[in-house]
Amino acid sequence: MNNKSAFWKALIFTIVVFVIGLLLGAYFESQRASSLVGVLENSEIDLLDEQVRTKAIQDFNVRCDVSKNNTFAFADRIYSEAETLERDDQATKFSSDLKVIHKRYDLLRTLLWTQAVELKKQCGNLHTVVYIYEYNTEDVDKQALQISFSRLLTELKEKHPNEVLLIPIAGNTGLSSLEVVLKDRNVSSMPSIIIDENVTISNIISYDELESSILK
Amino acid sequence: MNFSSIDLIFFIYTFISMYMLFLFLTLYTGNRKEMFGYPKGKPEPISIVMPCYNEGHHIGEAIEALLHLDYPKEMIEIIVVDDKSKDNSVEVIRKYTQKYKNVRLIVNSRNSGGAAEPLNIGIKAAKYDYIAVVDSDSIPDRDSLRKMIGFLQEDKKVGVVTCSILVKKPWNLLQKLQAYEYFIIAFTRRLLDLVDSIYVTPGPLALYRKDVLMKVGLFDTRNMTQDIEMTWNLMAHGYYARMCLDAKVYAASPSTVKSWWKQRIRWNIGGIQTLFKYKKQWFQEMLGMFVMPLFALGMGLGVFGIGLFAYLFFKRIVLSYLATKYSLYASTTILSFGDFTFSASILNFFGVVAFLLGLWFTLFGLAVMQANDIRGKKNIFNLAIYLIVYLIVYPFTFLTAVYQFIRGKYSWR
Repeated sequence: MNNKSAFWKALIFTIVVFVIGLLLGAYFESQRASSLVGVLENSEIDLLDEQVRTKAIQDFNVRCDVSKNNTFAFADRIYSEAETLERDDQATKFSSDLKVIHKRYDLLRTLLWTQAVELKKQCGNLHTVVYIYEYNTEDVDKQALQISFSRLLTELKEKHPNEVLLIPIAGNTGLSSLEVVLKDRNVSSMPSIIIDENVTISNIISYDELESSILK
Repeated sequence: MNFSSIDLIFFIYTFISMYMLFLFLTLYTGNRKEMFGYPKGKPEPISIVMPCYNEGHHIGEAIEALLHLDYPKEMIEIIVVDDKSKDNSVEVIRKYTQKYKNVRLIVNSRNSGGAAEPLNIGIKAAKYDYIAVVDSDSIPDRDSLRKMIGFLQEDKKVGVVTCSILVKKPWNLLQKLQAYEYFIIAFTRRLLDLVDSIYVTPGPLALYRKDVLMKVGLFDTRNMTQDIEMTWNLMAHGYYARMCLDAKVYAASPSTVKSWWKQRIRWNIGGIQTLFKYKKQWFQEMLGMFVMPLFALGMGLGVFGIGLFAYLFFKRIVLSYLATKYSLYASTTILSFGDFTFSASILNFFGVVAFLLGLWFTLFGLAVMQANDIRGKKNIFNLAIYLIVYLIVYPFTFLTAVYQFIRGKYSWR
């Protein structure tokens, strides 16, 4: 064996292993994105269903509690789907599919917000808590603040599962509909919490303060 | 693409690590039958030069070992060069010079503070054409010189032959960890030999040609690791170093963390000195094309890996601290289930694969050595400590060495 050829052989072998690794990585990421697309499409259908249901409350006098329960269940589901999406998104290195999916989810959640506002007008007795956060921020202080906001809101949701409709939305994905609403509500910094479309909180507050500002 | 600069750095790091592993693997698979082989040489006279400083406790044992080598007695002279020891080294050596004709003592007129000057004195005084350099606390195997000399006789371009340096009587944990390290170093040194890239022929036992040593100007007395410098010097002059894996020498190893730390800093400073000295050789011949980049990477990659890990770790710590601070202020939970969930990225997989390959290579190297009866007893606990603690601590010696090198405050002893 000409031992000097080992340099090239090892280089070729390393490149082959790396290329296989990269291709496998890209494949797994696309698989992950595909499974999320499937979940997202179901959620989109559910939201359309929800819109029809809201209309039905007006037109066919459907009971508010039935519609409210469905809205809460739907919001809870897309909340947990969003958590999965956030985790997968952080682990994605090649595919840009998840960015698009994220944007679609944010659109879906913005729609849910408008839907919830409509439901609130008709049925009352529910609070919308919209959490606007910054997507993919590199600012460590902001990341820490968002973790803390997230914990605070999760605790709130756990204590008031049937009164508080929690809707987290990334505020920097370029959705014009959301930007219009945020501008209208004077939300200039992230993270922010918008309570019942009236109160905006941008600084860290205690749980009791948050709870009292919602259930006053 | 969603790559940050840290991701890219991690990718490059993993690529280089994998390349080195695949290179070693390629070299081994193509030469596994010759790994422990050596050319059968015929005995020729050898001058053994042994520098000594305050080795009163070991020097007697070392001289005894040389006197009992499986080599014709009339073909060996032992020159012990004392570097103005403060202990009873000279008295011990004198007992041997009085008893054996082929044992000579030279006392340096001053304490030089290193091994290079005594070695040079001994080499100049040597009668024979082959020079074996031996540390005064090392014990060569009886047949080591017989196995090594054939390399020099077979090829005139071979300037030096080294052998497997093993830890002498490892009794505490630190020495047992070094024993693992020495096994792997010996194994990889043999693999590097296959591409003419041995970067050091260590002091415990190396066999040189005297005329070549004289031609390249003998050992550099200003270098902290005269053995690394000499190997590079020989390469720069067109000579090769060879490795006889089957020949063994047992070297004393540091038994305390303090002495280990000091030794490794000296090695690293010597390495840095050598890199600077031969900076004009970069990208020239095998020395500049592979040995120097390999050597620099070997020193830097560990630090780089630790630095990368430390950056990510401390970033995580800062994030956790701030998040906890805000959560405490908000009187909410400081930990949630979501904090423990995690999606693995492609980089995580590459990291795991690189780590597993490294682990496999270490175990494989030890198994190869064991199969040839070189390795000692198995101990999974020690091996785990070696892989997890020892290899992580090691890069810090390099950082300290760089600091001391920049400050210019270092000495051999």
